[in-house]
Amino acid sequence: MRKQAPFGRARARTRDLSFRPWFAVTVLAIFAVAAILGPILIGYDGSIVLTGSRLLPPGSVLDDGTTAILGTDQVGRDIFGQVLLGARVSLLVGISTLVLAGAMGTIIGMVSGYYGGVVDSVFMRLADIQLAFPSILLAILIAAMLGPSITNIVITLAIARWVTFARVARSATLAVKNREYVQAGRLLGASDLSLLLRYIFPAGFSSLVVVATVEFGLVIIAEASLSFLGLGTTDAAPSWGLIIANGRDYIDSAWWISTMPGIALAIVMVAIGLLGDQLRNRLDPALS
Amino acid sequence: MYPATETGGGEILTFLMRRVAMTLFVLWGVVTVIFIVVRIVPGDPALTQLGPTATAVELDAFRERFGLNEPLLAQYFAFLRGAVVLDFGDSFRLGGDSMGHVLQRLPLSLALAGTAMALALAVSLPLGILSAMKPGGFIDRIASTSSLIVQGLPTFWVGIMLILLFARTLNVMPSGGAESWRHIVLPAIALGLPLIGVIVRLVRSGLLETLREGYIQTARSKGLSEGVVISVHGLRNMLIPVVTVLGLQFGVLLGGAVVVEMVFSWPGLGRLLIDAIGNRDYPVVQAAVATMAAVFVGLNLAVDLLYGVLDPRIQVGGKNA
Repeated sequence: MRKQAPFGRARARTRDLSFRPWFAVTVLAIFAVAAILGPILIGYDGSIVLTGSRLLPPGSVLDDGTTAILGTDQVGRDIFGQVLLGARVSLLVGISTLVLAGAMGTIIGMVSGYYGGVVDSVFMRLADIQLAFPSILLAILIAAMLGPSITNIVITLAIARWVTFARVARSATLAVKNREYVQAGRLLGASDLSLLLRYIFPAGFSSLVVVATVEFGLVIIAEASLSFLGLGTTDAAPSWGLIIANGRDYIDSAWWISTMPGIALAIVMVAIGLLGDQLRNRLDPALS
Repeated sequence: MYPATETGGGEILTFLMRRVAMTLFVLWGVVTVIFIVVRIVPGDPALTQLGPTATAVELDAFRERFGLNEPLLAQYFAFLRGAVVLDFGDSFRLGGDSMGHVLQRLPLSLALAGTAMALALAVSLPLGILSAMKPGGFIDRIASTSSLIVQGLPTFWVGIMLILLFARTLNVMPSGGAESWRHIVLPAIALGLPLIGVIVRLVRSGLLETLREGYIQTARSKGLSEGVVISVHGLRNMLIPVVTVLGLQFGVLLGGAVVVEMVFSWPGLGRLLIDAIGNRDYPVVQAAVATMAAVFVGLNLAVDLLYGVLDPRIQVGGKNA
């Protein structure tokens, strides 16, 4: 594994502007609340088609007296409502994929690192083969194979992203498996499972948290890209990528359709990036 | 990575052979994965190509012609035999050798990725160096914040925004196609933007680390100007991580190009691939993915081998290891 030099001190000093973690955490909290409660709170369904109010610019007042603050799309759906529904898709896909890929990768990585031998060789060669594909390419292939749906996109991205977790979990396991405290546990009669769960896993936990934060962002972007290509979610669950794709044909007359979900996506990505940076500096300077 | 052993002689050869064998193994794995994935894709290629009006006889003739009636294992070995000589069969839809179509489109994708990388380097190298010269200073803070922002932007959305701004509103750039050099500018910017963030951070941290080394202090105490210290002594040692990352990032750019090509109707490999997936054109999908993965694997190999050239301290069977 290529290691970049630890850079904790100088970096922490220059980057540790105190507002940053709060900014990131606040944005992500708003994102989560908007995703979970937003579609309920606004009191209307963002996926409802209103042909009477098509392609209205942001701030337009609709026939029923409500205001479409982000405008409407080509079939009269409210963009703000759609962006909220899209947040739901992003959050759902992001978290489900992290759980699936994280569990898969961590278990494979820890087992490989702990037992070594054939198991290790097989999984690591598999990882090598997988890393020979640019990640988005593999996702495109698998997504095309499975067909568009939210479940399929979670499976696709989990398959495409488990390797990073596996590598980090494996190297953390290798680093501590022969330490005295682990050997002490072994001598006291702890089983392999208990050693892995209670002695080794906690040692690698902070690295895995940092990886998970970065991967969260990558997964959200990947989902948006796949949906943009028509390989992700369907109209039933409008993802930000899908809304952006829908707005492409109307870029001349209704710029807001593609623009708004992209701005939401960009803000969330920046917040995740900031948070990842902060966590890396605090928890795991060696990874930075 | 190069083994740091005390013995000399045949180590280089052993290392090279191991590395090449590993690369061949990975390539075998890649084409096998592609074969499996493509075979599981739902949808009958014969039906997709000939349409719902095709008779059973016609469908069967199509399958016979492209060997789709053979048992899977026989198809796999035929596929492997072909892959060795880069023959992935004739395209179902476009006619002619599928690899021929891929090779015709590949230069356009390489040009796009190359231009994106050049643009990213042109902006990020100076920015990274300036940041490292005054850590925590004005430029550093601006650069680190904007790197973070551009690193997270989705390329396809940036692409649409660039079209909206430069093609539709200002009318100074074409929005799609590949007729002149002007057509490459917007897609290259969209593709290269996230890379700027990556390189700025890399150059900054690499240079800062180098500047703490003893020989830099020696150079400074000799009375050399800061510019000479950085350009002669600092940058050279920073090249290794930068070249490594650039090599790997070029592959990432090729992957990202698939999405950007769709936004800008850039007739590269990515568009060929997405169309081929939609048409269930197996041979073209296989040839396109195998080519991209091979470029990616080749870059990895090249980067590994370059390591030793760039840093004389890393030696194969080195005497001073």
